Amino acid sequence: MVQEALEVYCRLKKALKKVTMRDLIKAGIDSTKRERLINEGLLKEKGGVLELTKEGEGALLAHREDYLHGRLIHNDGSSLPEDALHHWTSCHHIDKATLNEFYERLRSMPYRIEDLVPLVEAPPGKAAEVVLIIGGRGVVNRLCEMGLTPETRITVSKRAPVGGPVMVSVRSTDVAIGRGIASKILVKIID
Amino acid sequence: MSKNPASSGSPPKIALVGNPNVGKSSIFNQLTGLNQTVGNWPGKTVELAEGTLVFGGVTLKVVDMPGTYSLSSYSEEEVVTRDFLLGRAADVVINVVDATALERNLYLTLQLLEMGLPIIVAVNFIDAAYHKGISFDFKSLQESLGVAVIPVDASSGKGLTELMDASLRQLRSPEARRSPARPKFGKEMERLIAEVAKELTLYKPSLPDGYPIEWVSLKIIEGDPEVRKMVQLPVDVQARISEMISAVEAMHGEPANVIIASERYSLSHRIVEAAQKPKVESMNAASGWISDVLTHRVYGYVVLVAILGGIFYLIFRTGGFLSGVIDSAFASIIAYLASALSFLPSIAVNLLLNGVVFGVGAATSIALPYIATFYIVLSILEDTGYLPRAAFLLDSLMHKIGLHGKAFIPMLLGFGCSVPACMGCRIMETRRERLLLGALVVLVPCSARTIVILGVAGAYLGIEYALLIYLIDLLLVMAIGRVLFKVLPGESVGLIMEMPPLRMFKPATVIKRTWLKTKDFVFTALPLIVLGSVAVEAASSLGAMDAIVNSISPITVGVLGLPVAAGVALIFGLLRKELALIMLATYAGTTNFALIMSPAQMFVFSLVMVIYLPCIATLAALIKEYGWRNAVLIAAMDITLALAVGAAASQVLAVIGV
Repeated sequence: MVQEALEVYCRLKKALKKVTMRDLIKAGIDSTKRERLINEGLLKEKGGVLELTKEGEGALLAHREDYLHGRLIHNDGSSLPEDALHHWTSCHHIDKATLNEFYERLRSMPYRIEDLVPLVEAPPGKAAEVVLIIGGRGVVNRLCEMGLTPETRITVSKRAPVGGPVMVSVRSTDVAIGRGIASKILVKIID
Repeated sequence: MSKNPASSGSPPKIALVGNPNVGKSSIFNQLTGLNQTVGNWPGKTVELAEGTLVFGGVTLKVVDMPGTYSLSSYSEEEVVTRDFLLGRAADVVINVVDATALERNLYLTLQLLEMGLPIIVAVNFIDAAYHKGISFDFKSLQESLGVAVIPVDASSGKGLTELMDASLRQLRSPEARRSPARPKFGKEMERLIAEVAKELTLYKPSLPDGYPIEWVSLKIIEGDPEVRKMVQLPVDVQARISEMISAVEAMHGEPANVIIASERYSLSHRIVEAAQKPKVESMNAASGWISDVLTHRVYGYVVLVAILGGIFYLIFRTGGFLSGVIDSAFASIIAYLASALSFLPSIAVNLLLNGVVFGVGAATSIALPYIATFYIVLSILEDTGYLPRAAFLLDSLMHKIGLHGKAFIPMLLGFGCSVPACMGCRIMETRRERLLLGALVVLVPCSARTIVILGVAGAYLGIEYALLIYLIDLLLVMAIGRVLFKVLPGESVGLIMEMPPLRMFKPATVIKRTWLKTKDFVFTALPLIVLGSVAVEAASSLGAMDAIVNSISPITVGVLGLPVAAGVALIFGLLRKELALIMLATYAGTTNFALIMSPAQMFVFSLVMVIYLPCIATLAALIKEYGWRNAVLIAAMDITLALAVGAAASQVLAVIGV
């Protein structure tokens, strides 16, 4: 999948700031994928450094949005309907303004989307980093106040049974987060 | 800038500000002793606790602000605190922080500093922190924050003298009341604040005194609805500012409020990092495993059931005993007074004794035994940090009725008394959830209603029928919760709740809090109960009782199939539900209810008494919390429910031939 190659590019970009063709080869992207990235105009080489084009950004965002929806929210691989905007607002109750912020966050996210898991699925005892919170302003604000700002390290310490909340350690306090909210906090497990 | 406190007539005010669970109230209690009043902020459903103390020959007023994590305007508590502080209503602001969770606590501290307040930071729980292996270089902390930092330990009273010394110093020297330096954000954010401040200075909105322009700019960037409303920017200025904000948001890839929160936290992290001394190995891991057991997926529920069962047993054992003692004491007082006052006209004696004295007796015999016992137990659960753990375990159950785990706390209160339960609904985040929960907690069988269940169904039909009524009532609460959840507009809010560390409770604090809460209850309920008793006594002295009872007989007899006399209980149930039984006995002339009601009628009677209208004191609490309209709606819903369920039960019982 060429989109996954784009995800690899993003991760490299975050780590190295400047990504060259060589870095892609080292990261294990084969020649067909590399060619496709250039030929389809997703990446552009400028003075030896690879840059994401407008098309590339669009493709990446579409891929992330689709993965997020089908794998992380519904967990059944269902694809996002044609009118994605309408679907988010009407079926997931995210208002327009929040949706813009959400796309902004999705676009600039420095990890491969495939590396993220919802907080409810994070194994207890493991450290994780808060990457993306899908939710309205109020929820995001309350989580931030309790210390769950983006890039914060947390540890899931416990999950309550039968659809109950998860307990996480954050900034040397314990916070219980309801299942609904916890399934919309995407984290990256740190090994 | 701030007024000189020495010149004003009233005593200087000290405000205590801090996160929930940081021992703020315990410092407040240590400082003020029993010289406290608990009430509401004018026009708000936010608790206001005030007290006085004399220190170094100066009388000081201490205000315990509601515990908040932040000073945005997402909750009423935060708005109350913010307006109070910005209006410079306090002469000294003490920010209480928890040494065991300093990084999270400094988040609020930084916001206070952003407001330009010359705060004094009291670092509480230093002993507990030390046991966890955490200790601080307070000088470094003081330098980073730019304000006085005093280590204290509220439970032992350590450091409180130093804290008060610092407060007096601040009161006396204008130098110490100067605004501290504002904590700095990242480069882009600082530039944005400066730009927005420039726009604001050009436009010159009319800001109240004491609102620093940079703070207003920061709040506009954060998207604070209250400040935006207050400033009323013209469309073009608004558009320019929005553009500036968007530019910074695009750079960071986060909305502005998240950038600000992140930067505050990273500053807090750096300050703590610099001040924290190298960690020694934790000396006390005991509370860790206890907490694990209390929230365990199996043992947690075992403990929960044991604790709740224990509470009910204790309350009804000790409560029933004490209530009996008080009731008989008042009965002999009434008998004594009746003979002593026999020279007065009998109607006056009746009004005084069966109205006023009886009413006072009724209020005391429920307030002291049941309410006070309940508050003792509740305070212990609260102070030890058990309640959030129970809320954690019950979150998924509460979701079934559209609420989250915290709703369990007012529900538990409801088993004691509906009045504090109504007020306890304030812990919910949104007005919708407060209303939803308020409608439900009045249906929870309070101790008075339990007495009816036990006194009629339990005594004459057997304990299994009493439990059946309990069960029907609780199922009803679930069902109504589901229906209201669907009907009331708005979205449900999920649980985000801090789990405070487990701590040992202090008996003195528990007793003090119990005393204050019980006093509060007596003041709310006593006048109403006395007034009600006088009214009922007047009605029966004037011979109107029969007429009233007969007038509602289409309901009691027609709809519910109960004897006419049951009307007395329905009317008296408004005053005090367990008293209704005594009145019924007096009216019917017998304490053997088997003579006036069949088993089926007893069942229906108990059921109706439990569901129908909350008592008059609860009604007053509902009006105070939710306004007339909602209180009337809730009351109407309860009456309808009681009649519907009662009628249905009487039909079912008739069909199965009981």
